[in-house]
Amino acid sequence: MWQLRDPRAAQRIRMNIGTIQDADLLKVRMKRARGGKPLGEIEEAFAATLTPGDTFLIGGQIVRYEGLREMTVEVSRDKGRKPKIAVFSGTKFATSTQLSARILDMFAQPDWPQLPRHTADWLALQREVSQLPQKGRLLVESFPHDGREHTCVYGFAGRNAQQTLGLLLTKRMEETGLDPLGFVATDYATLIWGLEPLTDPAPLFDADSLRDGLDGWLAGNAVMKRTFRGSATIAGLIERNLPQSARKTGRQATFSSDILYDTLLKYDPDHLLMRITRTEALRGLVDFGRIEEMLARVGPRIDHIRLARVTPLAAPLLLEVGKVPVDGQGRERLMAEEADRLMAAAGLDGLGESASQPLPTGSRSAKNLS
Amino acid sequence: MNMHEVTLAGARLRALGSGALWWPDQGLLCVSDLHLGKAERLARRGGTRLPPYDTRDTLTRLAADLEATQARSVVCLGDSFDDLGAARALPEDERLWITQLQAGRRWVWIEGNHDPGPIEMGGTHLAELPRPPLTFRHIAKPGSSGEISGHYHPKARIGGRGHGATRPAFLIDQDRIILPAYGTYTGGLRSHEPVLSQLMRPEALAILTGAQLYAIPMPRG
Repeated sequence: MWQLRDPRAAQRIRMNIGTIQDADLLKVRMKRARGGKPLGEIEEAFAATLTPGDTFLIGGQIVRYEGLREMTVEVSRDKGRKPKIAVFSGTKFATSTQLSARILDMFAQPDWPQLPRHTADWLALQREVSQLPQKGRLLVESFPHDGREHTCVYGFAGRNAQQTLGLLLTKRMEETGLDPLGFVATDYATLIWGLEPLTDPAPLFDADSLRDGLDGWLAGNAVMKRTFRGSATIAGLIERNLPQSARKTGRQATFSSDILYDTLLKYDPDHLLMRITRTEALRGLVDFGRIEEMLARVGPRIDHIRLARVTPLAAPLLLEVGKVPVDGQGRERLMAEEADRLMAAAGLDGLGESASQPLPTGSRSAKNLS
Repeated sequence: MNMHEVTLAGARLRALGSGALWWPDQGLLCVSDLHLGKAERLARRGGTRLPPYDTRDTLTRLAADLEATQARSVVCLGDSFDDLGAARALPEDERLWITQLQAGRRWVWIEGNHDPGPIEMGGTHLAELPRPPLTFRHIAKPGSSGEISGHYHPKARIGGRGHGATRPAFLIDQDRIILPAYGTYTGGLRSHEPVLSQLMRPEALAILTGAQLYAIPMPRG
């Protein structure tokens, strides 16, 4: 007969048992000196996609995201502006390929009398400043926005396929020195942002290079780490609920599960939890074969349009939730710039001889884990 | 090797991306808070059973630093073992590995709050080590100078337009250096915390570790 030696263990198990994972909620508060009044709660996944300055509607008022502090989202009042993120409606169901095909047929019409006026105007404006995606071709737009370079790929392949495409393309962008920072996928497009402008999409879509080193890239990606966090929680390796709230900040929890993931990846990559993580993460993606087929079908019919600003069709993607960060040279560059800025602002830019040298490519995944 | 040069009490030192501190003139490598055997201690104490590869990973990184620097002396600044039981329970191959790393080197174990007492392992056991102009101890003493310590596991964040990161960091001012934790399963304490803000001078720097090192004014609360 087995029994628990420590009664505290029984409490922990009761507080964490169950395999259906509820979305973690974070409290939203006004930022004040002594803790402002609570406004409500938002999902942690939504909070993770916010950047300071983003505005959203909660508790009947428009607020501005200031930052995350000890498991609380701090906001300030933002009078007289429309919220940037109008509504957060959770995860969406994927559109079918048939529906995507019908949408593309509709795009081919000269005008859209059957659509509401604003939607027709939106499509007309897209056709005027860029073009509408067409069957058998792949539209790629690139433009600067908010100080970053953006690339939008209209595959109309469904969210899972567009997500996979995001992983494949950011790998190629990292390899070709475009310094991607992250991407987001919807049913119809993938939007990637980074530091360098895209000039020629051809090298990105080169079939042979897409697969090279893909396993390593996937293993280090945030999609995997997020999935691992879920499996590890269900397995009891990480506890979400601790007595007396030992869980201090959300970021801390994420960090420690990343260390465990990296350690298992290095020393026990076929551990049951790692196999579950791979299976689970790949469920949200499509077979790479299907992406390769799609690209083979399109062949050289890739229309790259370079624009001075965001296009009507790309704009909704800027508000999309579920952004996937890319941990590469782009992020390192931004950190280096920010460090220089902070040192200069403090009048210390002449100090501290830095002999930092970048490591050769390939060793960048050898991150410091401690 | 990626590094950041610093000077303390006239001694020229290098903060390494791994979190180790290298003193080339003395051929001395200093690491802090290895917390070897942490997974074993947590499991023994009835906590979570974490993948038991932390000691191996920590030693792998230490071996790489020793190889790169060819250090003649090694100073472990305390909390080298997660507790004295963890030191005793170390698997034979890991114990042997430490012995191999020690071969031909002067090795000092400074006592920490997790390992306050002699451990059955080669090397010298000391409460602190004076090595003029520097002194090595586990926990910083307010008012001292030329001091190298650990204990707090400092970490700091660089923002970088929404794409920043928090990383283990050296804290440096004209009196002292506080080393980040070197052990694989070690959390961190933000430099904002009052204890660190009070210990470090207003002009202190935080040097974030990793594949690239970044020096910034130490973030404060």
